[in-house]
Amino acid sequence: MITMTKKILLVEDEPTYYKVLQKALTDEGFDVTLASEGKQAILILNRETFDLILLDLIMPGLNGFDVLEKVKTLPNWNNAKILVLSNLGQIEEIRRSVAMGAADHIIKANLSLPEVIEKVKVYLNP
Amino acid sequence: MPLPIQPAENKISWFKAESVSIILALLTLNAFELLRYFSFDYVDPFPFLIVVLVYASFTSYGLITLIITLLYLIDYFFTNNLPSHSFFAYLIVFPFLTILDNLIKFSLQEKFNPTVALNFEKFRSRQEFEKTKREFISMAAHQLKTPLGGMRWNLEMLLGNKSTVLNQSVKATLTEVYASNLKMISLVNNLLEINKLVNNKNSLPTEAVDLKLTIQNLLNDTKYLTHQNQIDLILEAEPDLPKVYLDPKAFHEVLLNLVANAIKYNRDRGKVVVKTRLTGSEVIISVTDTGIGISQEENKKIFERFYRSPKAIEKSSEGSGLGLYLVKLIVESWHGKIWFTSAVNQGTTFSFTIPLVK
Repeated sequence: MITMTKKILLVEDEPTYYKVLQKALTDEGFDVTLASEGKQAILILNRETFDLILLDLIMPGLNGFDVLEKVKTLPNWNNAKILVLSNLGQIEEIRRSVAMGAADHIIKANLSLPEVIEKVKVYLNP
Repeated sequence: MPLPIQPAENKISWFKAESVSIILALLTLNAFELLRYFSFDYVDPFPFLIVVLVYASFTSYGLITLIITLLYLIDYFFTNNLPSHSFFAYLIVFPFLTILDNLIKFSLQEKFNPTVALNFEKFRSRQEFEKTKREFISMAAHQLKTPLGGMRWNLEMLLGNKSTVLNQSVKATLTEVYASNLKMISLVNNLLEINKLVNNKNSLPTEAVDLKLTIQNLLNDTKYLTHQNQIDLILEAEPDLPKVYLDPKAFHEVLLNLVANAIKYNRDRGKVVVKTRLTGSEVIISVTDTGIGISQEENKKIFERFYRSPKAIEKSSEGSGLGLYLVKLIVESWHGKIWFTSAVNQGTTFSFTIPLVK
């Protein structure tokens, strides 16, 4: 059996979140790439593909919704699963991100770190 | 309906606030003037003039600053005395003074006429004001959630099983911090929930809910809360409960609050019974505990925002006083009723209704 290291793109502008997530996910054996804003995420996705994308919504410049829209137009888009990670959690916002193609919408403050890691694992190994 | 604006009161509060500011400015200036007599360090006036002009154009105190500067210039022409460094000290203090002034202004205005302080004229109607207020609370709460959530994950990483760097006493302290952090998150969530409910009472999404299953699941999920005081959780549900139409998240919130309270304010080895009863037009759900009880005098207050019963505070210092308020708002949103019966030191029963007609 060949096991490939799963690649995750973390799109998050808040250092308190991306530092802890990057460390926790790396500790779990994932290959984590960080994009600290939407534009950078699109640039990275132009040349690389990932197994999973963790996407924040509120970011300066290109926000999460913009990224959700843009990824679909990329020539090498591989339909990677996208988990939205945001503190926006009104029903309309959840509906919107799911309608735009997100696999799930996680409200950051309401979920513990182990719960988030667990979700990531479930989405990577269905 | 447009808001009545009272220009007379408006003027009085403005005048008072302004005079307080002027008195403060003069007091500060006098203090520096006194200092000036003891100081012989004179400096070139031109750089400070630029600073003054910048202040003058950016702060609401431009006029006062300009007058003071003019006085210094006149002083300079007639006596050839250059301003001392005390003047620079004044310039440093100036922004703080402005902040203080604004605070005083704000509080004075609020006392005299709250509509002025909130700049009501800007809003064309009360609805518009309410909308802005709602958006503001929602934005503030979301902004609070970002650092709180970041704190949470970082603490969870530190306290997690894999971390061995912490000694026991540090770990114990961090556990306290973590508990407070979680409490703040739930407080912010409650605030958001209340904000939403107060304003869109009738627009909660509804769907068919299987009551018995939902209650059973919730009781299973809350079992971990009962271990410490060995409380028995009992469900006495009618066999054939019809489906009801409401927001499942909101119903969960109501029951969770009542059951968690019943566990928290119970005696050791007590009981919590959740009962459902079907009448012609509604389902009545009641949560009975064997705990400290609520006195009759508190009947009105218990559902008020931020109210906590003295006996409840004695039993547990934790609690925001928002839980039952939120519960009442939700129950009323589906046109239900909520009430309680209680005997001190014997127990309390909270009951609420869900109408069957959609």
